[in-house]
Amino acid sequence: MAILVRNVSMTQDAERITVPTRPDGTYYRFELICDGGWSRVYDDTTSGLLGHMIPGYLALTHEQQLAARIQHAVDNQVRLQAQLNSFFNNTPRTTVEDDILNGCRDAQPLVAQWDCAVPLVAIDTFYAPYTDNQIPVSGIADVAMPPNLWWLKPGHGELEYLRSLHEASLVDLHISKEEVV
Amino acid sequence: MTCRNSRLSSVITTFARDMSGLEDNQVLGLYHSLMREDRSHDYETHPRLMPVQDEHDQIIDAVESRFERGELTMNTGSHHPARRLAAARLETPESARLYAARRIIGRAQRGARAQRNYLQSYARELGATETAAAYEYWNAFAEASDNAQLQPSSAFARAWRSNPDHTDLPLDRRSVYAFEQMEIARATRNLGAETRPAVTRHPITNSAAIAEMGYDREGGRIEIVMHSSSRVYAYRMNETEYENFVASTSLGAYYARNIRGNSDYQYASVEDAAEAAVHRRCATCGRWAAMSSHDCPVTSSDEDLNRDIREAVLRARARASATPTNPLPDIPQPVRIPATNTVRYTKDNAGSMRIRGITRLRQDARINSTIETPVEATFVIENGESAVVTGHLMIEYNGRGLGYDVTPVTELGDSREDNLRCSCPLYQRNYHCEHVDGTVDHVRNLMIGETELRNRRAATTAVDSVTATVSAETLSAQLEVDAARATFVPREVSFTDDPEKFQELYTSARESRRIYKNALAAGINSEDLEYPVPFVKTAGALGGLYTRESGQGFGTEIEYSFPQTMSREDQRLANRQIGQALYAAGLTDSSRQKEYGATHYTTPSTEHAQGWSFEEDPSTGGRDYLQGGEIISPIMYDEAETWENVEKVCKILKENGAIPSKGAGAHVHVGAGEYDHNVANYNRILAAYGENEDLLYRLSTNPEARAHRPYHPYCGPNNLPSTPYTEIGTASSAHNSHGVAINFQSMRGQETSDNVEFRLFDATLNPGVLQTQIMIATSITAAASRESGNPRPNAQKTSVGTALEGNPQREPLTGDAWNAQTKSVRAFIDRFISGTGADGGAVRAKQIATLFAINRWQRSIQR
Repeated sequence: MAILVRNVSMTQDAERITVPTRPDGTYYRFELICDGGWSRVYDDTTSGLLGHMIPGYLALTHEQQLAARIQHAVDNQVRLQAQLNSFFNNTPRTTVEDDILNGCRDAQPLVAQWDCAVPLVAIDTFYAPYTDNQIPVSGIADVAMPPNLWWLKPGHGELEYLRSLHEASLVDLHISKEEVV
Repeated sequence: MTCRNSRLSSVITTFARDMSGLEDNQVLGLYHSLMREDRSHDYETHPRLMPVQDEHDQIIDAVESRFERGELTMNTGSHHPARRLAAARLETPESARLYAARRIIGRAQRGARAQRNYLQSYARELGATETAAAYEYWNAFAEASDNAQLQPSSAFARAWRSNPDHTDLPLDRRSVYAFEQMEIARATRNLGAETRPAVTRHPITNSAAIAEMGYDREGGRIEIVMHSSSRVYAYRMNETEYENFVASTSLGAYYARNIRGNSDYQYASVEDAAEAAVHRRCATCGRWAAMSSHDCPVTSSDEDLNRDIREAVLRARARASATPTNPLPDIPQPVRIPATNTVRYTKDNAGSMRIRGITRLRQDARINSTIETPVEATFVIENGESAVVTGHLMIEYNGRGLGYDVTPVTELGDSREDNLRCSCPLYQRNYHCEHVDGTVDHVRNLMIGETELRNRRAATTAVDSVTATVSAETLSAQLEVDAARATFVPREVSFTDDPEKFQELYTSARESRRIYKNALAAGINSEDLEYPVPFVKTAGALGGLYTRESGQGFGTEIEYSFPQTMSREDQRLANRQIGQALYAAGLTDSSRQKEYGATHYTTPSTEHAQGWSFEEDPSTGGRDYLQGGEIISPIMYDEAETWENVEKVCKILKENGAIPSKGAGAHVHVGAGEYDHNVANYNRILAAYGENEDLLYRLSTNPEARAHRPYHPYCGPNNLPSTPYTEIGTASSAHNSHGVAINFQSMRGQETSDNVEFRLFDATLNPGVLQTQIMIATSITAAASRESGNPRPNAQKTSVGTALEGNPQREPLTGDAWNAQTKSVRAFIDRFISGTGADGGAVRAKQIATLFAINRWQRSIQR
């Protein structure tokens, strides 16, 4: 069961944070800062962290958990895309690109190459090899993490999904590497 | 104070220093940071396993025995630990020291490793020797040691210490100062460094897609420019892969199929790609090279001296003698895999198949990219006869994470022996049969693997289900808009057309107010009197909107303070009693007053039972009143239980001395899932607010106070743009604040959780007034999705204070002047209050008219 600690604001003394430990005094494997920075969640499993973010997650079967992660990803995709659209409000884009950025996510964006500088948020499970949809590539830079194509990855397992949320700045995920004498 | 004051600390930091090679001050810095880390632990909830004294003794025992076994070492010249450890046994243990003592040696060794790695990569990037980099670093470190005034700049120190990549580095003052000097030197050298492009691109004449291409063998970098754009695409690629690429029959097709979007070739980031785009001259070997990947053949550092120099020289020679690849080789053939190491695979009732082991095949495909492998499959057909599929399959590796393509070899030109064929009569007639297809499918599934297949099937099902859910939400939002449109019917009486009808209500409300005041003055308890603003205790108070069936609810935060005359002890007691009363009423899950924000970002309950939250709220304290708190409702719907509990909460607060002070507000959250992604909804609600801003501040004033609470910092007017918003993200960001009247903090285009927060209402402990505030908020929110058009939010703005400026002395008005002053409230009621319900909207119209009658126009923001 994940341990939830209320975060302190930047203006407060960081020493007020009480980092919980396991009964033997060592740190939990994962620390997740989520809920818009309000919560710090500690656990040794990624399921525990997702259990905090997705109500009822732990009681689901493997397949249901995958569906829950995808649903969670879509919810975050909508929010993140709206924030990015707002942030890049003055960045030029074509009408077609504008429609894709503002489109409803009951139909995920189908585009072979994304040339617009405004980041497009995409979810891995809606593309090959999970579906027949072609994976979009960035026209700006064909690199693993292009600046204009942000991936949420619920299909690649729990840790990979949390990492993708971290990359998208939706959460902060830290992994402990404690060494004790 | 230094940690050397403790014998245990002294001996353990000496071990850490001598075993890591760090400086004394670096180790002490790490030791102190560990002690601070321990103090942040919560030992009330996570008690230690053993008493501090026992742990102290255990650590000393462990250090002694490890020293005796030679696991812990000290430099010659250091004091022998035995006496210090004996003295340490007499010390009073302290938990933070024990925590740090357990960890410091490992932490120091990690720190030393990280420091070494930093210096190595620094040297490599600048083409300097590691010795030179270390000299530079320790020089700066010594400078900072000699002069305590030397500090790293605060901006650098903050950024450096907060960088997760630097977690392991020593971060004491001297070290950070030295790192800053190194970074300044790095930036200066990079600016002036001699560079040249890593790749020289050449025009490509035999491709319709690729215009230019070039390859850097040393750095393993390829650059491609397409005809369609002038942008340069860069990838990491080894020589064999590059040769396969240039040898392909169609460069464009090969690029699109194998390289573009393939994570095996992509750089991690744009920065990495840019870093590898230039070569610098290596200061050690003099070669031009990409410093991030340069494998310098000249040894320099201590570590390099341990290398096998001959091996490095041989590698360098091999690179130098590499001959350029012929750009026009023969068409490559897929690698033919021999029929060895075959394994029999069975598949349900479809017979069996013999093929090379799947793990080997995967390896073959990954190494050779495309292979052809023999296969033989047997299927049982009618009458016990068999159909045998023989021939070859082509397997292509699509790149990491992208799986394999499996296709039968059937191309013209292939020999008949190679073609995948079946012995069944159907194949003999059509050259196609289910057995051939079944064999290909079987191999494809085996290549992908059962786990991955299961994952993909699950993902496909999940994607369908999520898509269906999102589509249903979109549809549901539209249905809600349709329902809201159907719910609204104009009231029979129009106050715009018939001001006298409104005046009747107004006069009656003033009279009720006078009677109420007189009764209070005569000493009658307010609980025994009927308040002028009506309170509806049954469902239907919101005119058919926000029912549980609609799925859209609302919520409220009831803030309160205590009078200044109350003692601190009474204040604490009152809060305790409020908590106990709420808990006893079954509304909260605890009688404790939780910390501020305890329920932020938790999913609110939709049930009243233990669904309310009782929390602290620092904003409710002030010069003239004492801090109280706030009570946060669950998601509520227009039903009797809601109003019953709203009344109950108000009563509990009043009974325990709470007051609606100038520091307290009533925030109303209204579900707005039906707004969906339609930005016009956002523009409409802002326009509706703008047109009625002056009126809304009058209606939102606490009737028991003469003036609205200060607009700043918690409920100031929204700034409205002169053009409509074009994106919901922009609209949400612009109105995402705890300082504005209408807050879009929770508006994200989500069907389930979006809500608009109305923050302009003053606090009240009167259920009728609170119900009216909720009704105003819900009516405006619903109207925005019901109405049409995409207005400019500030098109008809009537700023707060406008009416008062027209009548600054608050002279009684009659005739046309009165009609003009009441025009906005009459129009407001006609536009937002539906004629639905048994009373045709009369009670809701009366609630607003009464609040209007007993409140006053409010001052402008400037006054």
